[in-house]
Amino acid sequence: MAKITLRGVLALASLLPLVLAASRDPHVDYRNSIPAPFRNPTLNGVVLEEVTIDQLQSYFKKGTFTIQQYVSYCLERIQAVSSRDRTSLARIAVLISARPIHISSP
Amino acid sequence: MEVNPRALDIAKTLDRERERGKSRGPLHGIPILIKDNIATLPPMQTTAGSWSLLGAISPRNAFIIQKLEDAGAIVLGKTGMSEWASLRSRWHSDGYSARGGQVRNPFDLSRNPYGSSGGSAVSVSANVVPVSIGTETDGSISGPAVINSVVGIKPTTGITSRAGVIPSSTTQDTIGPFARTIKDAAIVLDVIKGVDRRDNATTVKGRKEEKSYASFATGKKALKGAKLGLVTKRCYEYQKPDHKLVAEVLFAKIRSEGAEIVNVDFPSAETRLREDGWWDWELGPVDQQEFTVVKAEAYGAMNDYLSELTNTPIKTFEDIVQFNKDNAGTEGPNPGDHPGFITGQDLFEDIIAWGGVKNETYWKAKEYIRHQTQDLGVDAALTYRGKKLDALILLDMSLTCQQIPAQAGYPTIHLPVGIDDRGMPIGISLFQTKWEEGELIRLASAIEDLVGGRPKPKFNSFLSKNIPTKSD
Repeated sequence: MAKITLRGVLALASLLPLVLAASRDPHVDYRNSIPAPFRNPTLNGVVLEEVTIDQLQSYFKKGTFTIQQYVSYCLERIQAVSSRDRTSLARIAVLISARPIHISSP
Repeated sequence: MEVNPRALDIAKTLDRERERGKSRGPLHGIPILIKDNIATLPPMQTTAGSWSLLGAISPRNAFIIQKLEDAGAIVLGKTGMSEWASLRSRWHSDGYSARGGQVRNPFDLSRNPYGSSGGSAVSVSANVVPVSIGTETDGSISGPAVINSVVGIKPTTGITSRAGVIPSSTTQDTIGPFARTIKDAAIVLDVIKGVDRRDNATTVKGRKEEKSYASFATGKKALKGAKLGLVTKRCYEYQKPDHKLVAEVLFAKIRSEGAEIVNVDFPSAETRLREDGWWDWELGPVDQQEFTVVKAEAYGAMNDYLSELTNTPIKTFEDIVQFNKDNAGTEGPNPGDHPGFITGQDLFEDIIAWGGVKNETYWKAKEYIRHQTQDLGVDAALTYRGKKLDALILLDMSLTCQQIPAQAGYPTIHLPVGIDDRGMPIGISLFQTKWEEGELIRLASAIEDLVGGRPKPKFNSFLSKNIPTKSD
């Protein structure tokens, strides 16, 4: 049986931050790093940042959301990032009070 | 700039088709944004960002719009752009137009999104839509792609029809996609490519079109045995140290996958590229200048485009220039009138002064540039010790070196690979000879796989309203 040494414990402990970092969701990290009005909302529970054409086709096929729902989503996204809207007081208020958000895993 | 009021109705129709088991292909139901210089039928307008064309009606959809709609893509709207695709002012705020306002870089909203297809690249980078369409004469796809961290493909002139596109140069203009992945860009290219009797460039002898550009997308294993030429003289040697650092790390990774990267040069580097590394389309004497070709072609091509419009008093190039003079407050006709148009409309004035004449000077310039940028440019650099390289690879954030394939009408592909010391994106570029888009897609997708994901926008300085944007 292997002897448990202090050095061994320390070596394992030094790996802990790496293990923790690996378990964090890069998507959540990214969302928390950008101002709230610019964050992509989810659509029917699906994260759509960096979505590809193949993934969209699979969502349409499975019925996760319809083409109409996705088009509405994109139209709202245009409003969210368009320069004129973003200067409205309401949006800035949201922005200033925004705290990091936490998404639970699906 | 504007959204398609029919988008949801079209989506409904496409949903119904899908319910009945019908799919028009990979773009069925995919929303796409279009640069505002590509003609769409009412209820959408096409203005190149200028108020002068407000209300003008195009006789038909541009060829590529029809292709997209037939393939089930939903034209969601038009994107902001450098007004008239940067054809009006020598110095302007990139991405600014009177009608669309200022397009901003999503990594830092105080900074330059490059142009002229800035809005199309930004919309993809900011996760508004999955794919978009831009146009290029010299740098208008490559620039926005690399500075906004998205993939851009500038196809060989003649792969995509320019019919229905507000023109700059019949020799150089081309239409291409932006996307977040190489494969998505290739899927769009597969739809918009094609022979069109309204564009002579698509009917030239020897034109080669791949059946499926998307099928060229692959993984990093494709780098094994690949031989790439790093273009050095007046290209790589002029790039910023922090940019080079990112590139060197990437090049080492590419080599470790079994590829070889050798240093090559454009033999024409000293005659076609500026010594100080700046982009310049007025380099050399008049009978060697790129702008000579552009200005001689733009006049007649623009008048042809305008002649087909209805519901507008704008009939000629001169009408646009006069409109700007009559509306100085928004259109900035003179230097100092408007911060978006720093030198007014000096390029437009030069174009009108030339008057569309295709004289000996024009033909000399056109011939000279072709030879310098094809034979003594991309093609020469692709030949290394008697053998053909698989592609040229470049770090070209100053957009100087892509002037060679832009003037040659050759294809380029651009993909995001990292960020610099200021947190701004860095992209690399691959060049090949004409009709070799497939090879570029194959190698770029292999490098994309190696990089493993693009840097995403941070939306820094999000309350910025500065015009012009910062571009140092």
